[in-house]
Amino acid sequence: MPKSETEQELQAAERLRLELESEVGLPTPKGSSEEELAELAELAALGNLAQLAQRDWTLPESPRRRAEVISMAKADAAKKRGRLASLTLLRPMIGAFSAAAVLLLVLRVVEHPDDSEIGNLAPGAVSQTGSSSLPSKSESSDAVPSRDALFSREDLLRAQATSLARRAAGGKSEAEEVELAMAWRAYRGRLISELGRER
Amino acid sequence: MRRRVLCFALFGGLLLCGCARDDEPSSGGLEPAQVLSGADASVTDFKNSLLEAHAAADAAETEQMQVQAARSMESAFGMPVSTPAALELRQELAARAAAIWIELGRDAAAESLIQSGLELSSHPSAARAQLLMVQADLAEGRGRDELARASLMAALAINQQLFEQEIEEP
Repeated sequence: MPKSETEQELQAAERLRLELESEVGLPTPKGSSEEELAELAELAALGNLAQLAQRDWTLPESPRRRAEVISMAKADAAKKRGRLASLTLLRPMIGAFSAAAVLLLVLRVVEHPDDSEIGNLAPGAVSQTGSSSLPSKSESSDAVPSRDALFSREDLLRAQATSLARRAAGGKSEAEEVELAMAWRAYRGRLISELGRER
Repeated sequence: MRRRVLCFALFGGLLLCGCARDDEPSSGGLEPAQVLSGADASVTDFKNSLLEAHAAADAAETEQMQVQAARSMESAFGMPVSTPAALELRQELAARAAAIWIELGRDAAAESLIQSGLELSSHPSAARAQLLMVQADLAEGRGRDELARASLMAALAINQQLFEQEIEEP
């Protein structure tokens, strides 16, 4: 007996739900409410979470319309990822800048071991994160390139977006919160450097 | 002859007096380079307080240590430094301290600090988004789902706005 159109649409919506679930990496109980599916659809558009502010929280009642909205969100996500990919190509360059900045900091510490500004920032930053933190910008000509600041803020924004998405789905991930905290430590160091230059 | 001797003596005396004056300390006993302006001192104090407060929070293992760290952060938050970087750092202090208060079950203290942090600056920043996320956590814990959702939406909007700036302005 052939399946009714409604049953087919429901199955299509369910398939999309499972696709979204694996794409976003968040569990969604079977028979999720329209609201939960809407949240998942928006989470799939990571990097374009402003859609969440523009769309309704609930999907249409019609399964076909529901599938359409989810597909649109995925298409938007793909578009956004295309733009992000071009930025990703720049990351090795940004990494190189960061390495150069760390080298300059080491040289500066060797030349001026009593510099209190570096002494206040670098040990504290290292002890907080257990990993290398961004060096403090100085008033000297050995200033860290501005692209380093953008890289730091981008990491923070990504970690923040991930944490936001998790909260929207109704939970928190300890690993993601730790990553957000580490991103804040790095960005905080950058802000403190700017603080020194704003005087 | 006598006049020449007198002139030389007078000239020599004047020279000696001038050299002696150069050895006298400047007024106040401080070299000019050591005198700090009021603005520099306050930014330095703020930076030191901020670093100490965050270090205390990182090292806090007991509830008492968490309370002390949160109070240190509140104290640093209250320092009147208003440069753009300082405002964002102060908002982040408020967010982190409020998160500690929530963890300790002190919702009233968290709410007060969140409000103060949001009123500090309406400029979209990662720190303001973080404050709104903490506000959402507090609201959710109190069962105020609508406020939690609204706070998350506002945080999302700021986060996305900043993220688009990062992508479009390399």
